[in-house]
Amino acid sequence: MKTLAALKKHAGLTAVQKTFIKNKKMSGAYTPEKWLKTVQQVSEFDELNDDARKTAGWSAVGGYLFSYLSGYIFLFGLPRIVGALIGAVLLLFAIANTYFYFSLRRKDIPDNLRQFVEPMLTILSEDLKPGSKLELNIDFRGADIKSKILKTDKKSNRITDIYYQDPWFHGRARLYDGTSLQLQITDLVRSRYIRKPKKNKCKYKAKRMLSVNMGLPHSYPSTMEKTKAGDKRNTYRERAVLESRTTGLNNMNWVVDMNRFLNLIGGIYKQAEHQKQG
Amino acid sequence: MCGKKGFFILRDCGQTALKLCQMCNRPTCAEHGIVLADDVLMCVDCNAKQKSESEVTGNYTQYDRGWTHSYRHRYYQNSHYSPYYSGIYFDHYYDDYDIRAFDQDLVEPAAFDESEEHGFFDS
Repeated sequence: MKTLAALKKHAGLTAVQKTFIKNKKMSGAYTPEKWLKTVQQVSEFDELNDDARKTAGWSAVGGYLFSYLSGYIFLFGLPRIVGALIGAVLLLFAIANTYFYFSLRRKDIPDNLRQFVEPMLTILSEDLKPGSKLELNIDFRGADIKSKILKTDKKSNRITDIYYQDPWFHGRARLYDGTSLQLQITDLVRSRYIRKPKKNKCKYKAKRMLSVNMGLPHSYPSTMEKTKAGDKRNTYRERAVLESRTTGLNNMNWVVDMNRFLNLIGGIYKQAEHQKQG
Repeated sequence: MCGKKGFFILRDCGQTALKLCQMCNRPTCAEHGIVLADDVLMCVDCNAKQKSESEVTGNYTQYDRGWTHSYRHRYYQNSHYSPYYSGIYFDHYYDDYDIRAFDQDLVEPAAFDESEEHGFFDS
């Protein structure tokens, strides 16, 4: 039932949403309301998908196990033919669930969409001018793809390091107070391939970099003294950049700590105050 | 005048208030009010103050305006962030947040207009 609900939800999505789920990539400049509408429905589907996939996976495992055990049904005094029939039905059930499991897994979107992008958009929509557009570039394809290779380092005949740079989230917007805001999340991944006589090994080490770049309006307290009325050279926006690094990630689906991101934005607004006081 | 909207920068809602909040008696518009049982209206700020930490930061699935205000309340408290306030309507409701207000005399409603040579000023 859960699988059917997930498939039904997927069928009800728009072409843009289906393309996003298929390609794991989306970019554009729309109003926060439009972004939220798109992301919310995909998130709802993803939640159903996660649930259905788990059920399908366990059902498949159970189906295979019981279809095997049905071969021993004669121990309970039942004819072997009954065992063979039950086994065949359970095997079909298990095969169908295996198909659904892999089919739904292909449509899986990282939890960062549901637990970071969606609440972040909701918060940002509060500070954006009504009708203003938010430029977003979301790429959930993962870091270990060819186009994201930064460099390859062959340490020895047996060990090769491949460095990936994955800027999977980039957003740009103009806030209500005129501040230009740029958000970026980049995963820096090192994958170490170790050749061994019997089995090759691959180890991952990753860092996540959160970056906030803000251009404060010239009317902010910290920039007030630098701005002269009528002087166009001085009407530039003061820029402030804050970055935060998280190291030692072993799971690239690790959900971004939203508070850390908000602290970066809040930190820049705090800086404006401190600069004024200093 | 209804309450304040925004997250990092607070501003006046600007919408016409329809009813009074049952908790704080502030005028509240339809967008910033939550209708509880028995047709009782509560503003999103009072609703946020009543919610516990786990209700806001837990595994939430529906991110709406009520959630944003609850999250904002927790964020201001936990990170000690003092938002700028750019509006013109002051009241003591937001004193808990230590709002960094600009000078009332100098602030115009159009202070955010980028074409303006001077924007808003610190008090």
